[in-house]
Amino acid sequence: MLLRVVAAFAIAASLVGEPDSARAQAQNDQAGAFIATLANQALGILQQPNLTLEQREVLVRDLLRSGFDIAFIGRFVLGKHWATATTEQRDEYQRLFGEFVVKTYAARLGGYAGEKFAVTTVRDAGEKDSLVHTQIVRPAGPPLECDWRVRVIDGQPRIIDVMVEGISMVVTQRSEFASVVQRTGVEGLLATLRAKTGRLSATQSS
Amino acid sequence: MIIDGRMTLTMLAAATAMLAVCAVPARADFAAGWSAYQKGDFAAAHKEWAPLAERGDAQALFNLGVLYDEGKGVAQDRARALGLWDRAANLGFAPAQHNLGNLFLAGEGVAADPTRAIAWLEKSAAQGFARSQYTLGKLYAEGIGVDKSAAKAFALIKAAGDKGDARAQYNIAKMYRDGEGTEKDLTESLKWFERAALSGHSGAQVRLATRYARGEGTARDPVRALAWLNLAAATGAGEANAESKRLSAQLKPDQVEAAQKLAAQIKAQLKN
Repeated sequence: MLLRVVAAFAIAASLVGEPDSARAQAQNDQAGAFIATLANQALGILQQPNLTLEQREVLVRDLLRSGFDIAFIGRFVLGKHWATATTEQRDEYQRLFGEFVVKTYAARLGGYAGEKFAVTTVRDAGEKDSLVHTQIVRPAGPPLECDWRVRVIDGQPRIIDVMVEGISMVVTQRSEFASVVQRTGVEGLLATLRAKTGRLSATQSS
Repeated sequence: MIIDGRMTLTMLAAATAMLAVCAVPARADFAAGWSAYQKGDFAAAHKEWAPLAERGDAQALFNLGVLYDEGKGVAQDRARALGLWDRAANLGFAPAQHNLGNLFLAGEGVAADPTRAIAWLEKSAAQGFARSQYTLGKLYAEGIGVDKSAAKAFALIKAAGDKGDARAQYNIAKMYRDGEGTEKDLTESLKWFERAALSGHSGAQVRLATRYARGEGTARDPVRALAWLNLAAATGAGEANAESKRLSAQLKPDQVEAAQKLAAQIKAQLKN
């Protein structure tokens, strides 16, 4: 755990460049607005009365999926094992990894009853990226704090990492996945991802 | 005898009435919790379900576990979710057995334990729970935590696919294609890729498009191929986007238009 924190910090530190320029400011404004828009869209979906909560949550996940650059992150997270995976393993991995990421982070966009979402600060992260800090205050449970690392790719702002309490998802997953692959191979990692994404939500019937 | 029979019936009726009286408030509490849950008021859902769970209502135990698993209205607490699901699973509630199996498999909230994971998944699969049948089938296919068995894998995955599980349908198509756990059969393979594609599986949609584009196992039909690629691209399959552009460039404008119309028709038939 300590190692992970140190690793995350080292990467963050190495990427934080000289602040500045109007370009960086404009990019940060765009990144902040992008995350705020995603949160507003999530709110709009979760407040729709005619669908079940599960159906609304699926729509929020689709929304978030369009905000993440899943292919870019997924490949980076799998690291050197990407090269040895078969085409079908890569396909399934990208699909499961995408599900895992959006399932884990969709709740951090807010939108449920009584929640208040705010973009609190946006700062530079390296030469290319912006780090958007958000907070959700909830009626029960502690507030959710989250940093979204945003990069403009092909003219579109995209999320390329999420940090919770300063810990990078990309760094954490990369080391966790590497150890799973080492023990049980790519198929073992796929089985783990199926298990992580395969749990059912609340139900009205058996 | 007749009197005995009548008395028994009367007693049965009385007992049923009493059960109904007891059960109605419990169901009403469950429904109130469900309605709060649907509104995203998780604290209220928790309040309604907690006493029911305390009394051993399997569904309330399961849903309460979900609140802890997903951190809804409470701080996320997987160990607590596990405890609640364990109680519901021991009452024979298949979704709880399935979720418990997945927690042990992923090692979330508990140390990973494939043996216990598989024991729970076997129970829910035996109840005909499609998701568990698929999960277990994949474990048999790869020999993870169990002895590898292509035949068992095929039987389980086929059972899940028959019930409409899209990922299972996609895997059945691949197993027929490769002759794994079953006879190799390209016609069956195409049929299952089509079923999975209609269930909304984007990987199956891309593979089906490839078959139609090349005329493999079916007549060549580039318009249909493009229609499926467009549908896959809309659900976020990265590879579909590039393929769709490439194929569009090779076709005449009226063919591209026909593909768009066909995609709209297929979309109306999609199951999700």
